[in-house]
Amino acid sequence: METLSACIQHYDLQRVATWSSQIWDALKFEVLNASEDELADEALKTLRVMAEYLSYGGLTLQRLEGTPLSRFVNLVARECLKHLHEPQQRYARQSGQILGNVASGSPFAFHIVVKVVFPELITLIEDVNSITKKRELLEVINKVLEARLELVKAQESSEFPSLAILDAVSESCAEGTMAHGGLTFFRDTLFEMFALSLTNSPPQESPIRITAVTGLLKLVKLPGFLAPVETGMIIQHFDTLILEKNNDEDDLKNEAILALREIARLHEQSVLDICFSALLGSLPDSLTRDEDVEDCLPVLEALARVGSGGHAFVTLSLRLRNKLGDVLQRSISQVYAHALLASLLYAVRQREAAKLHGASDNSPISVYDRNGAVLVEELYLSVTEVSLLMDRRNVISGQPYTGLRSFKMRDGSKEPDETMVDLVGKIGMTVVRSMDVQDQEWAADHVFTLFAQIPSDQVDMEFVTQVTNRTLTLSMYLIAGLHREVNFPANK
Amino acid sequence: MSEISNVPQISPLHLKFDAPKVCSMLIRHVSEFAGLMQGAQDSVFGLIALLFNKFVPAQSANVESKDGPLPQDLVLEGLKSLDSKTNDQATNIIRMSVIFTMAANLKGARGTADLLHMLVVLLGNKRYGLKLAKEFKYILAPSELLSKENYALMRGPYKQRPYAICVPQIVTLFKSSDDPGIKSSYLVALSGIFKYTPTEIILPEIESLLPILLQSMDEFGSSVKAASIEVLRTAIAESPTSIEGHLRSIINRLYDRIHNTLDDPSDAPSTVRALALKCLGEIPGHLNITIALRYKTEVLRELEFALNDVKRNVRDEAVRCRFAWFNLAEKADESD
Repeated sequence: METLSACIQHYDLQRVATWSSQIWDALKFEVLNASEDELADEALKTLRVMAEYLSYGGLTLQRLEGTPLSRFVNLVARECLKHLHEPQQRYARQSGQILGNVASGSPFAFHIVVKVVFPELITLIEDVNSITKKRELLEVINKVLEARLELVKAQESSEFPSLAILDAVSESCAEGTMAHGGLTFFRDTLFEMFALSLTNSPPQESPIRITAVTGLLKLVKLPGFLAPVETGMIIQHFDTLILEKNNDEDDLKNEAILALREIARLHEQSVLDICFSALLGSLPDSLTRDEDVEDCLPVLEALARVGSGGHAFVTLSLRLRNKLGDVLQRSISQVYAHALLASLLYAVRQREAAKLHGASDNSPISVYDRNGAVLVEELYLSVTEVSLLMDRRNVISGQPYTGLRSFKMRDGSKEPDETMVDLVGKIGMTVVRSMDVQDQEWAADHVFTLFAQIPSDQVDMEFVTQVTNRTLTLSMYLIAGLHREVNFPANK
Repeated sequence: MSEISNVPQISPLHLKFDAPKVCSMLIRHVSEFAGLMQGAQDSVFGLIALLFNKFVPAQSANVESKDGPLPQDLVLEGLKSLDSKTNDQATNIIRMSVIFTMAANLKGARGTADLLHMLVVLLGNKRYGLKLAKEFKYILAPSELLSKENYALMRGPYKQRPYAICVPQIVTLFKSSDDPGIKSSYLVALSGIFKYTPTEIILPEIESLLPILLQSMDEFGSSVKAASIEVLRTAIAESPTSIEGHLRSIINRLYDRIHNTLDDPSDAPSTVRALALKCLGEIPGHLNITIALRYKTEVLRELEFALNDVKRNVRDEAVRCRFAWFNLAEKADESD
């Protein structure tokens, strides 16, 4: 098969065209009755190469009719459709793979696949009663949409006309011609179909709902395909999934969270406006019982995962910090506050992991670090305050130091407990250690003042360790994150 | 802090940020003051370890620095004065010393060997020996603070060093000691070291350690039992020939662990019983078949008890173990 691919790439168009239907006949069995995955994959790849190479030679959308490409793709698409019509749908998955691969060959191949397959496939999906079958058919659409996303990705380096132009051409062509009827014609139908599959399927049928989530995500990812309103609706659908109370289907929730995170990269503002408000709004202002914190954890986790990158992180950390203040004022115990901090820690760790794996965060590194630094400073300052040292007879000696701040909670003031200090410290450590050496000087300057407005050279460590050693936890975590080569203020 | 611009560049107060100095100051603080606040000790110990590992430069030998004694020496002094301290203080000093030793060992600091020797000697301390033994594993356990991600200085044979220095010394002391309490401290410390030392380092010396391991399975608490069984299990899998000669005594001791009935309960909790069964199950796959076959009937008989154990995880493990031994014969039959 590798030879076959190579031949297709090097023989002239006419010869390949003559053999295309025979090659299809030979290859389709490898895919349909796949005994080995490797063989099937190779066959699919060959089909794709075929679709790609038949598309060269200055084709245009209007003149597709009767070309070797059109003959080949038509043949393949019709046969796949036939399989999809079969009551048993034994070959639904394979047909999806074939269609997806052929469609990803070139924009022209994609156009023909959509034109031939989608009208019938959509009627089929609307008519089918069994949920499993419906899911399989939706998966076929997902495969084709996947092909479109691949084409979009490859567009920069390809010789084919851009998809946007082809869409425009297709829309302006007369009905009944080959060029008419590209993907844009199915925009509303697809959107509606996926949305309905998500909302109207019974809650326990999570496979089809997951398929619907994937489909909707693909629609959002297609550049300029959906209107902002529709994107907003999709985000709302995903929020609902995350907030669904009696939803034990973790896979589905997970899928929704991942989808939201991807959308956040493309439509940041929409996600911030719609998703964060919905999720944060669902969190109570205070808890009557500590055990209720369990209910908030999934939402907090979702927030942390959606908001771990870029601008979303800034908003998330701001909102959660405000929430933290409110919560402490209204609560008796600090358990809820722990959950909020843990969620921030989780977000910070996700950011660190993303940075290690080549920064999916698209903000420049300096901004990235500044956002983290702001969070750490604010958090540190929220649990500490500047005090003056007192001697044994409670006479103020004038030595300023940073001690723990007492929160005004519902039943009086309390110092932050161990867990709270520890969580704040760990957030500090995680942010600091992902910075460059130079940027870390910001933290090195403050390891003992803890960002308070007191001159670092007036902190008397001998006293501090005796009077207020619980803040040393905060100092410890800052130091833990520092590079060995960092400049302490004393060494400057 | 730009608003205080008229502070001279080198004021005495600046030295308070001098890492070696802060480190030494904190060590003295732990050694001399009793009242460390609850929840803060770990941070103080962590700070000491971090500062020493990352920010105290290596000192050239025999040079007393102008800032006073080295942190290593301060820790040693603290350990030497243990008996004159209150209980709380002594506990703090012990925990600090262990974490400090971890930090020193990671960077291969001068004095690491002295610290390790000192700690081993203190295992024989009547008052604090056991407490220290329980902390021993933290010399080697991976630390959340001193990690690669946190730019800790990790170099040299830090994984082997504590084993190489402590184990021979502990074994000698173990043999010459009569006090069962102290003997148990030695074993607890050993199991701590075994737990975090890579097995390929332990294995070559397993034969000389076997007597100690076997004894520890009989006499001491479940953590020591578990540790010694775990070491045995790796030994069986990785270097079966070294234990062939001791198979009888190993198997007998494993029986004692898995034998758990109402009238005659085992001295081991269910986790250790399961572990013992796992260990027993390793024998058929690894040891010479002719040697293992001799034990087949009796092992299968003994397993009956384990198959009726009250705990599910033990029964699970017993089934797997029986399967392993059962298969043994079939393989041998085929080869006949």
